[in-house]
Amino acid sequence: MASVILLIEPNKLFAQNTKRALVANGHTVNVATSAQAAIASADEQMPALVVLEIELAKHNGIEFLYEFRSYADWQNIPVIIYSHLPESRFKLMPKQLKLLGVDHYFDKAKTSLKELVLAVASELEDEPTSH
Amino acid sequence: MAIEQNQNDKLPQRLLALLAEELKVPLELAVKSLELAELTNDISDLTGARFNTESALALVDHYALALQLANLDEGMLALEPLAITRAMREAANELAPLAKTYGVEIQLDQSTSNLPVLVNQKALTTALASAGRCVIEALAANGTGKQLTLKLASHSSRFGLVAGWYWQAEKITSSVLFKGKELLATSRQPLPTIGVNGASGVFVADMLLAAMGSHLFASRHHNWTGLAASLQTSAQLALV
Repeated sequence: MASVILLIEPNKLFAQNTKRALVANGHTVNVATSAQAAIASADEQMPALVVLEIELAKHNGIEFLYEFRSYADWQNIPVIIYSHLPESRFKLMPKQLKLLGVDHYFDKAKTSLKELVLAVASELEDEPTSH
Repeated sequence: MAIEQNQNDKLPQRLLALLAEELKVPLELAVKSLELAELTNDISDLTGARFNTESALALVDHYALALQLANLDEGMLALEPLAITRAMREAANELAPLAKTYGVEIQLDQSTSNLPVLVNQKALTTALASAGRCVIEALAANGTGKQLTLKLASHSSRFGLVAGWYWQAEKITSSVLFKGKELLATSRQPLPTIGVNGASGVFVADMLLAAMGSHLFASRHHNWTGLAASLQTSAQLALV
């Protein structure tokens, strides 16, 4: 069965591109444009992995992560950050990101879709079969 | 609320930094569209790459014009009487492909007034397009997937003729706009209520309007909230 990926991306065109690349690799992708919509989407269909843009309208990606991780069911779901904001300019330390369960931090400008797809595949392979 | 002069003086430099960040989005999108075509061996649809490159060019164009006009000596900008509906139609036409892509319907509301205003046509059309581009992207990012509507409307007020963009989702106030200008140099999201990114289009529009003695402010139009400019009506033509 295809893995369900929750893609949180406010830009519709970026979301379409990323979704197409992930779907071409056999995944099912649910797109949410905001943190609120992402929580609702995860509630409706539990994702095996989350791909997250930090810069969202209203609640940002970190606020989403705190909310997301507060639910027991979603605490072990791998999260990949795929953002316009480079990690070097991000105020949160790598240790804090680790505590929020962020497995990879990719800068969109420096990461190809292929690299993202490979990271997603690698994360899903590492996951226990219960997901 | 009038925007203070000292803020305006530093605006071009602050805006350049914000614009550089924002410019990355359409350029990255263009690169990703090309990469996707490579990955999927499908080069039949490269409109995304072209569309995003055009978006990047529009951002640069609008900023360049704003900078050019900001550097003109006072009184050097040629103002002409112009039917406001003409500038509105041109801006709406320019943004139609973008709006369609983002699932936003643009409605032109020209019912209230078609008085001539004293403006520079290119500056006004560009200001409307620049702010509109920003609002369309913001509406789509805040949206719930439903059809979104954006009104480009004008109405008469005691300050002159008011023209601008109006929507129903997120409210914006003049203080948010003012704070946004203060945050321009330090924040990646100076107007978080309407822009996922830097919302540089709003500030570019404000610069263009400033060259014509106007500015952007938070406005309302029939219970719709929005960003608009007050424009001086052309008394000369009214007499004719």
